[in-house]
Amino acid sequence: MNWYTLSPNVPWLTLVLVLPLAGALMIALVPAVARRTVKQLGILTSVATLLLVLAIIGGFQHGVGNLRFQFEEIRQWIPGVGISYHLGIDGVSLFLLGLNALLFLLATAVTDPETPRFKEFMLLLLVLEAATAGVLLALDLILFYVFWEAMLVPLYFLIGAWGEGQRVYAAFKFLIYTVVGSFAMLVAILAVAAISFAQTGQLTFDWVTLVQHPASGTAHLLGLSLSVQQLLFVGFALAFAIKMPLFPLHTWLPPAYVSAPVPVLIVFAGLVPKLGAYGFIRFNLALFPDAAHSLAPFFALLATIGILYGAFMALSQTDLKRLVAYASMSHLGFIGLGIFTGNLLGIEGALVQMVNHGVIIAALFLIVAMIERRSGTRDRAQLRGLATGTPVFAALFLLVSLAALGLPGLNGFVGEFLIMLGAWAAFTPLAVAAGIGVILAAWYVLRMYQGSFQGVPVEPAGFGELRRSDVGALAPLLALMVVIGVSPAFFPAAVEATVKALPVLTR
Amino acid sequence: MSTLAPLVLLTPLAGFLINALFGRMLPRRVSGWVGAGSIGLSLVFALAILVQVIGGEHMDQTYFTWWSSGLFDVPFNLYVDPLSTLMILVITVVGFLIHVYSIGYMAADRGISRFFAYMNLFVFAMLLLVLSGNFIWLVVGWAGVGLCSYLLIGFWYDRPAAVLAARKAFVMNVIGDVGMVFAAFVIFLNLNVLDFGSVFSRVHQLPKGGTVINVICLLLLVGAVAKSAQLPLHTWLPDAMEGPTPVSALIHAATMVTAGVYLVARMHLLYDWAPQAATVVAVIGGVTALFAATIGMTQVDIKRVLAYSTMSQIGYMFLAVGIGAYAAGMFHFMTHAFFKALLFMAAGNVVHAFHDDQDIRHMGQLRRGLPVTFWTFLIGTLSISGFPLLAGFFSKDEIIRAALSAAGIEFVMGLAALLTAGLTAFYMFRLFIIAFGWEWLRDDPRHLHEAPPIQTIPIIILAAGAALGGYFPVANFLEPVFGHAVDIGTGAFIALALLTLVAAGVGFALAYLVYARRPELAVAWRARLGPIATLVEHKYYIDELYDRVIVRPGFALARFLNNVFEPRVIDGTVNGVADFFLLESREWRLIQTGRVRSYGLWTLGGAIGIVGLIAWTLGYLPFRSG
Amino acid sequence: MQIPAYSFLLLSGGIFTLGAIGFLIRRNPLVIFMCIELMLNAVNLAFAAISRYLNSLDGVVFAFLVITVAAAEVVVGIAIIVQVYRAGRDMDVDELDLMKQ
Repeated sequence: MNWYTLSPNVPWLTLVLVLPLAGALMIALVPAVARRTVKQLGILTSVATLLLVLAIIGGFQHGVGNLRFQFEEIRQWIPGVGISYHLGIDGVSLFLLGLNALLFLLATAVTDPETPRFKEFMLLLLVLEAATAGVLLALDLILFYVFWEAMLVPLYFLIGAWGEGQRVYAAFKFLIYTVVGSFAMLVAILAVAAISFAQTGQLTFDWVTLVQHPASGTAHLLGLSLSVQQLLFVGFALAFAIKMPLFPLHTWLPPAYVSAPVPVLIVFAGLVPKLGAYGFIRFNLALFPDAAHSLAPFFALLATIGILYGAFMALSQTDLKRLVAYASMSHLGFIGLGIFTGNLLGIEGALVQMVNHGVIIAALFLIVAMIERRSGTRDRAQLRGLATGTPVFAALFLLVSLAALGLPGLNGFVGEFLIMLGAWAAFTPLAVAAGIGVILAAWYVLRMYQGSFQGVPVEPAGFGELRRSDVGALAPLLALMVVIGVSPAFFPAAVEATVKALPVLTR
Repeated sequence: MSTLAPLVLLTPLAGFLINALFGRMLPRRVSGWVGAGSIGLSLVFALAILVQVIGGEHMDQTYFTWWSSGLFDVPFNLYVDPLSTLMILVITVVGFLIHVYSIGYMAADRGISRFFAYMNLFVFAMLLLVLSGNFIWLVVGWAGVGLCSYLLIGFWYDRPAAVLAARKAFVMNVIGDVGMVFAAFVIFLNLNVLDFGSVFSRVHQLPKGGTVINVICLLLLVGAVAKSAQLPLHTWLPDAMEGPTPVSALIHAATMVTAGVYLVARMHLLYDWAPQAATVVAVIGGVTALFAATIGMTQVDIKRVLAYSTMSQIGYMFLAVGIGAYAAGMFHFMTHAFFKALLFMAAGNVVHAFHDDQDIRHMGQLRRGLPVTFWTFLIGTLSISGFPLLAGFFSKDEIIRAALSAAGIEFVMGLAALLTAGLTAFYMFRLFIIAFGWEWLRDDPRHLHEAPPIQTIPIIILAAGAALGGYFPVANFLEPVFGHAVDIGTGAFIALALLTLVAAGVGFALAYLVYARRPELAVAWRARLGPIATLVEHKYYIDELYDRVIVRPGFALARFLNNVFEPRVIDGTVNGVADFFLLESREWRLIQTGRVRSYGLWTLGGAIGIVGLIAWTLGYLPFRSG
Repeated sequence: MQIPAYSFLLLSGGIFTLGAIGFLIRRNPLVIFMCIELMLNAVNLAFAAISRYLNSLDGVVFAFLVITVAAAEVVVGIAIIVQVYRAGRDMDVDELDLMKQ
């Protein structure tokens, strides 16, 4: 089922990549002093991209499973070694692409035009958007790797040059961590292609070919011994686990989040970790179903430790930004747990939770920034009773907090419920541990909300109500929290067929 | 009926939205009447449903799909039968009266529109809880009432005690929510459905009394216990009295805290199938009833006494549903909603009259000052103590009778309930005598003022309910749900009724003796009981126990992870690897002189080396490899 | 008359050696640049010769690539040298070790 059909003659997905780049190019041509023009161009580009992505989501056909993609584009790139420019979209990437466009629109919208070197900032942001979209769309392993690495460059500069505090240290640590993971993945990619070449005599990096033997219709990598599969699995997993991050590879996260400027943080915390999770589903679960099955308990355990560890760390933070950073890690543990349940509901829960996490974390960081801008601090110990005189701010913060702690009826619950249900079916003790994580979440989220907004105010005035633009930035996120929470049926309708066809489910 | 049920739900939601979005633009009184009016409208729809249900109609209507994937197909459906009809009626009737009362009670408060927004949201969530036809939406309503309870306990958010109490209530309720969610998992994974109709028809596929059904029922019980403030998750309820008094009346007495009883009654087919879990329910109920009553005897805060009384009465209801006397439990739920809401609202009037002082030792001689409040409170006290022919007499009697006619541990719990009946009369009359003043013949030197009519008329209506509620044919009404109750014969009936009467009479007599006639006895007994009295006065130190065993170790662990584990162990390992390379590179970088020509030499040397190596391996050099 | 291929290679090797030695012993950056050009063109010569010898165009294509790279390199390099000169630095490559940091 779908609402309408988009013309197959238009390279829709290439347009998704080209639009932000075109915007970046136009910004490059504008003089740096024309800050307003730069900002308008940035917003215009992101709005156009968002509309395009929404059109694609609307034209996405439901019920197409069997590892098939939509809006597919294949062009030869380096035919000699079987590398092609292959884009496509399926249920796994569909809504993440939407999240990508939405968060980048938010990021460009909330950037203050008075930021130093604003033009370069905006330019890098748009380049980053193209790179992250490319990660989601690429169906060629090398093309994926190129986008994966291309994402690092703008991120490194955005944190290192526009960050705060120990920004260079943070950016460098992030870079080193990620590059280590990426190299492991590159080796694994080459190994996969080489093995496939040895078996079939055809050198290709194409996901669709690698995952499905063209002749027999079975995944030919299954012919490998389990230990080789596991080794390749770990190669990919290292890159994705660092990006997510899974416990204990997370120590780049707090400094990087604390240093990153808020517009970057919206995409850096709201989107980039999900690309790691996406990679797990797209590559680890698809290319190595047997290894995924045998290693799943271990990775699910790591994810669960991450849930509890992040929650306890969040309990002991006083810096609101760090607190949200660890809360984010705890929530990402849920996503990891859902992925490694290896069953339909767990993975669907992880997918919907990826969107939820982006929405919630972006909103939380926006709110932390709004608090900091008004009061000059984000230390919980110095904040108290902010709700006096700012009822709208208090109400919106409360709504976001409730979504973050997984209140039934809001979006966080949907994902957590399905993930824990999947986990209960696969690894019951881990589901129970995740349940403890939910209880801890209520604790630290309320401490954050109550600690800053309730109690006797330190001083009567000085803390301003939200402005119209603040409410406008939060509004789409709040709307998504309620809509996904109350009526998420559209989500499984679009992704179910894709998830059902994942090799890890059909093995 | 399929349109009436959503209307019942949506009118409070509309009231919530109006007050939440436009509350600050509305005049204060309009806020209140929007709040109360939306509940009143909901009440009208509920009455229309009642007419149809009495006519024998049922409903299980699906409105939209929530999530559908594989076997997991969860709709949004509403389930109307006599049980949910009874619930929505009590909720809307008592809710409406409390809303009207609040217009007066909260008239001077700054955040009145916020108050009514929360109250309406609460009624919406509570109605959703009882009307929901599947576990997902039950949990949504379940958590929703917990949220509103949190919001309203912490309504005065500039009071630190209120903020702490609110958080405590919320976190303990989340424990219950998680239990419920787990129960839903086990149900789905064993029966593949989550809507009540299908669960009830498939439950008999599970072995009776087997592990699965018992696990399901015990997990559900976790949710019920947390929500209904039963042992061991009860400590939030007394603290919840930090909220405004109408909140205590509506949420922490009449409706939300009885959700646990509703849950067990709604799931009675499951509990019938899991006798062991049902016994646990009964034991928790009986023990809590007795436990809370003992604490109630020692408290001096008027609202806390009533809070412990609520816990104790809900213990009765748990006992009832645990031994299979579901109709009796629901009957007691209804009468309790009447007299406890009455008691709380009357207490609110008293507290207002004494300028927010809640200590009963500072009160007294209220008959002249607050005559309406005085007499209605007396009716409530008599009703809860089981005075013959008042509502509490019938409903409580039925529970004790059912428990005493059972065998085994249930019978012991029946004895506990009988003892509790005596204690109830004792602590309620202790409260009444101390707070309202036994010396009612003397003149009152103080100028206490009765509350305005808007606060007294709802109380009078509830007093009528507390007096006459026992004559509603609740058991007959619920017969389509629970089946016919067992008849035990007239002789036993009269004997057991006399037994409870004697227990209540002894309690009353003791209270009268100790607090009205011979106050010095109270001091003497307090001294004689020594440590036991101290233990009870400190609520058996359970709060302190949780603090030592859970809260403090939790924070200690969090601090350890943050201060030691993360920087030293995890990041220490990472940085250790980095340091190793840094150390190595410090030596290697000596060859990087920065001089172009030295680099050139290195490059040339490297190139010659590589070419030489290739040539050597290919055999082009005079000396051969291998 | 066919000139044998090895004579081109010998010439190419000779020019390359000259360039390399010049690169190592001279201190003036401009002269060093010329030496680099010398080496690159020596390689070009070898490419062209072998291309002819093998009757294949691949070598010539590479030669063109090298010429392009060389041109780009000179542009960047000269720009740097001019900047350094403007900064009033001594034109001695041994003294220019700012990149050591």
